[in-house]
Amino acid sequence: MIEKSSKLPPGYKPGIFRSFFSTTPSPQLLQQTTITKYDRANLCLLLTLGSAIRLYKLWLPSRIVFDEIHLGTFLKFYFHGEFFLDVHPPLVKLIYYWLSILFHWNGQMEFNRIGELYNQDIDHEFPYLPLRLFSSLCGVGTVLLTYLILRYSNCRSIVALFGSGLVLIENSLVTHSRLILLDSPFIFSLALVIYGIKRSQLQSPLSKAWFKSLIVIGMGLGLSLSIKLVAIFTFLWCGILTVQQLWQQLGDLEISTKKWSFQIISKLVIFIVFPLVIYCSIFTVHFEALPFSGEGAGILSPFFKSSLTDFEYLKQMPVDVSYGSTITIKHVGTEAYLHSHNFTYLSGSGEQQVSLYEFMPDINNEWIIEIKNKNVEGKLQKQFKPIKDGDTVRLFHKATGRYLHVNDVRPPVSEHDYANEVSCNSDRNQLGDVNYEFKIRIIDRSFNSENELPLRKLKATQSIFQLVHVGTKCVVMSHITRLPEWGFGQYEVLCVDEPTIPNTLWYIEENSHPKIDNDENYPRIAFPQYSFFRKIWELHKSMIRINSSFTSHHRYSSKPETWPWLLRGVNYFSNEGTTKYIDENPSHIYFLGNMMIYYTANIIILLTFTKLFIYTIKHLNPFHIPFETINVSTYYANSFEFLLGWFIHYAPFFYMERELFLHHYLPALYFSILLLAQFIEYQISKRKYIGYGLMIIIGVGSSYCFYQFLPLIYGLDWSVSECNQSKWFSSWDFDCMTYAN
Amino acid sequence: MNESKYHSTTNGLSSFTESSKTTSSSTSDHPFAQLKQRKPLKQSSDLSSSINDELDEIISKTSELSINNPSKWSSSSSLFINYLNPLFLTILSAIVRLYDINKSKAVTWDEAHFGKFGAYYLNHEFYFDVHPPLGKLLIGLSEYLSNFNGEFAFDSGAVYPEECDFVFMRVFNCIFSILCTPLSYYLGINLGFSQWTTWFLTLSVTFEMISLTLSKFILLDSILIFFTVLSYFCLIKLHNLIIQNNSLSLKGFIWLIVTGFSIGCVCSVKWVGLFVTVLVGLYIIYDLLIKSYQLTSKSTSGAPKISIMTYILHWISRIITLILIPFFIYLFCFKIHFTVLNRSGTGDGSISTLLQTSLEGNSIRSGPRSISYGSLITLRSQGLSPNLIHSHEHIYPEGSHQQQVTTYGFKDENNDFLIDTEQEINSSNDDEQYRTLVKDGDVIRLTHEVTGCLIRTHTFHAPVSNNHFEVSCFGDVENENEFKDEWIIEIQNHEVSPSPSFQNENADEIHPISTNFRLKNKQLGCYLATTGYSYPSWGFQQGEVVCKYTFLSKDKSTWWNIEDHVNNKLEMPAEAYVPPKPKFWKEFILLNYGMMASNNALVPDPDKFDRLSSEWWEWPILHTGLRMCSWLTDDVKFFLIGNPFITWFSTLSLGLFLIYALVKAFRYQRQLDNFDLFDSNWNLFLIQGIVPFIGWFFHYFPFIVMGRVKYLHHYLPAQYFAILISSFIMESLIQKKIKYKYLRYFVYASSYILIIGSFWYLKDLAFGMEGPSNQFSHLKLLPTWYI
Repeated sequence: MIEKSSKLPPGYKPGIFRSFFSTTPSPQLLQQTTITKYDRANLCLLLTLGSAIRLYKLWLPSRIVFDEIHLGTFLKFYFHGEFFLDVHPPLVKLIYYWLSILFHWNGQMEFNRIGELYNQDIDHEFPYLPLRLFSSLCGVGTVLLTYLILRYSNCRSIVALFGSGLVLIENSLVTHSRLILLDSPFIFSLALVIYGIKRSQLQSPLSKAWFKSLIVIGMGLGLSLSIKLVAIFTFLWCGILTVQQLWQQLGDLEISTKKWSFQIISKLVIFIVFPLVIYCSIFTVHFEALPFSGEGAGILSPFFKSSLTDFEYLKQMPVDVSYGSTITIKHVGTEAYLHSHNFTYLSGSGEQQVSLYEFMPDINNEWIIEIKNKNVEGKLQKQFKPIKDGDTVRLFHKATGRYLHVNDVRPPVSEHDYANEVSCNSDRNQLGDVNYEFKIRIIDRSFNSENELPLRKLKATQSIFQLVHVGTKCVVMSHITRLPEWGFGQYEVLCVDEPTIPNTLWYIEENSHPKIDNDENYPRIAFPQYSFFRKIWELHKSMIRINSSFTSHHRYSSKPETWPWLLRGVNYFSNEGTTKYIDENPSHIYFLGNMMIYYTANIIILLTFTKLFIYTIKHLNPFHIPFETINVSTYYANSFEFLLGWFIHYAPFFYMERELFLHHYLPALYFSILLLAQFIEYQISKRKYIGYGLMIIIGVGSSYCFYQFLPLIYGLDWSVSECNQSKWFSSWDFDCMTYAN
Repeated sequence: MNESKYHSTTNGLSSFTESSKTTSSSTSDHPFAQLKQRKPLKQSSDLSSSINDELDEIISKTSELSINNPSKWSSSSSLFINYLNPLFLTILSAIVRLYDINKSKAVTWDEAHFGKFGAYYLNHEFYFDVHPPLGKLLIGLSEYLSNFNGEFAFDSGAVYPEECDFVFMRVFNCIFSILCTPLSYYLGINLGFSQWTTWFLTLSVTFEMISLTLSKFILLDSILIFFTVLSYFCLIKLHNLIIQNNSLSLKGFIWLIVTGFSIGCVCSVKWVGLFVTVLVGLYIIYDLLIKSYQLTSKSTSGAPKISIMTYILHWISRIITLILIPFFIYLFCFKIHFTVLNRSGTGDGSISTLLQTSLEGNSIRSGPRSISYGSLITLRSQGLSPNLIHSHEHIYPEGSHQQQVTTYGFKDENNDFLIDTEQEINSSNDDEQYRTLVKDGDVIRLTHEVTGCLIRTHTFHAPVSNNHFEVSCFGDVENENEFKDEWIIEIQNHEVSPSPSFQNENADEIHPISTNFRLKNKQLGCYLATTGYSYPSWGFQQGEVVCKYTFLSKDKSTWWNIEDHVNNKLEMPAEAYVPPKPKFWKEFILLNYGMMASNNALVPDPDKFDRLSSEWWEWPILHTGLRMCSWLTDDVKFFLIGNPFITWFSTLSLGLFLIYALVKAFRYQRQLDNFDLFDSNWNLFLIQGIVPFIGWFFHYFPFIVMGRVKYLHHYLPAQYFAILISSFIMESLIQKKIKYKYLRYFVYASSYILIIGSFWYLKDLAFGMEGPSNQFSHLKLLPTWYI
């Protein structure tokens, strides 16, 4: 508003009230970021080096390493088409599956234990090499993309080479890109997103090339979301940058409002709709590939089950529930079965345990719904007598011959005054006793009910009800609190006086009564088409639930605050101890970062944060626009983006309840390396010798750290003394005695 | 014209629209012109030194203005505007708040707590509560003034006895709430609202039913809302002084002091006051930031220049008034708290041993002055949750599955431990062993008196703090030799008694009360410590005990001292022990941490239905109310719920405000509108809209992320800021946008009718319902209201 246009800093233009920053990239910037012959040569160099480093001795060890065991198990499920549940979306698993078909695997291999040999079956060896190759190629791709990202964020070629070199030799990234895991493809798609963003910033909006870059971003987002749900943070990052950019463009009076709104619409479509389409189509393929019942089918709703081929029998079940019906009862919140087994509580009453169980079929999930008085076996099965809302019933556990029972003692984990333990007790001779009686209170009906009838009569899958204990007036409920080891970690079932409603709801899934099972006069359970979106919705609810129930304490889990300091790695594989394979070299795969890169990045993050803070304060000054060159503005803009990326991919982990591992830091680490390169570029442009000096020091240091730990990355032979010398922290717990002969 | 701008900000006349338009255009052209014209004003206000003079100033300005706009207001109207209108509204507020204040003769809602806490001050009995003391001190004062003898226990639902003048106490408390009405009126005037909007604001505040209902009882909320409103009022005053460039005058300094006083008070009533403090703090940062830009910018840039001296003075005056004064008020409240409560009471269990010894009639069993093997002791942590170590017959559901070890804030026999020798020493002579004194570096074992198990640690990770080891109670004295049970004593220091006969105690021995020591596990080398976290429900929310490695010997969470000591074999001291004096600072910090810890421990169980508590999303839409007392036919029943029109309209206004702000931002960025820092256009938007919105956000958002149990009345301060936003919406969308005069009048009049009407319809909920509750079922506007 004040300064004359002649004195405006570069990039600014005079406006109506005040000058504004022009978002059109300056010719100088465009010229600096043009890809030259020299860059192509560099890319070739990186390709060669990258392939060498990532593919070196890819077959070592030819045994199952760490989470490869999970991936392998999932691939087997795909082979047999058995439904399973995993916390990660299916894209990479599908790719691995297709690759393994391509390489003639027959789906026969037991994935029992980390360290097992891959080639047990000579004819149909598990094609672990091609699968690892895919992961490695993603790693190489990431290195190349890093070069381009840095070039497009105004780094000179040598700095871009340096930055991508760091990605190339970062120990943890190398380790992960050699194994059949999800992280290497994930980092690749993350790099794709960043590449697209950096590219699009240099192009004029709404041009053809600009749209291409946007599609790259959308694709990257879609792919990364289909690999790991952490990609939500990438979405968030992308969203914040988009809003910030749109805000700047809004201030650019050279862009008409119409063009501006058009940009919003195209970005909305490409950044949200496009990735979601990719995501959903991956899931469609996933559902198509798994038509049969499998390990994970237990916690599916009956409606979902009805879409799997193995569950035809569900459609044959009668819908009316009668006294004497054999039923399975499911908990609405967790979709798990009311379960009892022949083990007793080690607390409270010491009677037989009652819990929730997530797997089926299991004889221990079956209950017979009976009248409240003494009952002779088989009598109720002779006639059909429906159960109505408000009826008082007893639940007979078929396998152990005991009745569901509530004691006035505190449950094992949630020891509240108002909570009672639920157990199984007594036998057929039990006379009438209010502590064995439950009142059926129907609360709601599910979407497949055709009329209001399920609210009055108990109908399988349709009536949603509570079990109110007659003796103490408490309501039977369950939650995702697990029983201790003696309860096999199953969910606790308890009876709470005046509970909140959501966790007290149950419904009947399987239902069978000899009188009506084969009588066509009685209606069967109706299963309307279960739409794709309902399936996706249900699946994601269970994925979130599984994710949050990963609270057990793994030996190598760690806290987020320790990650940037590399206090401890993760042992992925070791040829040691009792399982030592004499005929093979002693080896370890120990997941650990590159000390030099991690620590330098930490310092740079802190420095950049301070610099950005001061920079922002300076730029908020309404009376004066600081004079700075295009290179400096670009540096700060890029630093902000990368720092934000680091923060968004790191901070949320502090709020996660589940157990976490060092490899969750990889996406944040990738951003911090980009930030590091930006910093070097800035130093070179400001203070040439210091900049180059820093670059050489970091380069040499990180190469040394890489070289020093080669045996841990590649599983090579080592000597005990060298190994011991490399234990820079006493908390690094790789066992050096492995290398003793 | 510039003159009139300032009048309009202070007087809020309806001629505002025209005058501000001209001002804004002139400001943007000549930023200096405005300053030059500001000078005479500054001088005139320099002369006026007291707060009362300010009113005269307003009157004089108003009279000037009325010459400019003779058609709108006659000079006599200032009498109405400044005195009669607020007086009328205050009387109205007093009527609805005081009406039938003695209707319920029983202890209602949290009167059971706060009335009782007040009585503790009369009885001088030490108690512990999660709230800072000021509010309860005021309640105590009201009880003192009403000649209450402190004998009534304020049991929930009990009928007040004859001699307890509860009406006086309630009225005393109610006055704070009534005073919000005139404050809000003058707030509206100072915000630059028109009379119409000021009335809207004041009526909303008056008939807002949460504050109205709560004001009828002995609670902290009225006091809290009064100081919150006062703080905000001060902020507005400061803002007006700042834009007049007048904040370094005597008047400015007085207002700064009042602000500091007010935020000090609000924080000393409830910690929620911190939110309004943050709001004031942010505004001050904003202001100082602008001033530093002014300081550093070149004179050519057009920024009004300030000198470095002025700049430093701004800093110093704000640090003194807004940081030091509130802090000292807060400290002072605790000083009174400690001074008044000099007798032992219900809060004994959770305070440090030294503080307990300073209380009259404390329950410490003070035995012989040195500890020997075989002594029965209780052990108090010196960490941030200074409770007694405790064990009971419940096991850890995870980890070792052995008996739990916790810290506990109440005294019971499960806190008693026996000191045993280490395994190797197996003295045949019990008596001799009982006389062997425990020295620095000795190894002891701690046997739980009731269950006979020994305190031990092992490599299981602790249930809450995963990176430390779990501590459990297991086995018995006859056990195999297990180093896990054995603890090495490391004496840290010894606090010397003021009495000469106890000053020569051997510092190598352990003396109850005065020796501070650490316990190092013989096997793992970690130290017995507390973390300040509490166990989940299976551990009854008691404090966590761990064994941890620590770098600093000064880490107080690993320090312990012996509180009770019983040993018949040793000689008692000849005269009564005189304990060292507790240190105020230490006790102050510990008490505050203890408040924080027990605040965090108020975590609800998601499975248990709690009729009283509610969730954050229910408040702005009035999803649920709160039954304040039992619901029997004979009871006078109160149902806490907001005024539907006010609450719903203010919630809607929050949304409208966001849209309004987005439109403004869009127009600014596109340079269709311009905001200038010193221009009324911006400053009015800032102070009428943005600041209250941030205030609402700060008073609301923390409850979304907070894990503790929440009640409807937690929304009260946020509701106040929401009302300010709704007034802003009325002002900027009705008053300024609707050109047609009578339509404008109509809208305002109907809003007044709706405010009062919806109150009138639901008045029984606030005034108390007599008779069976089904008589009042027509008041159930939403099916979720539990009337």
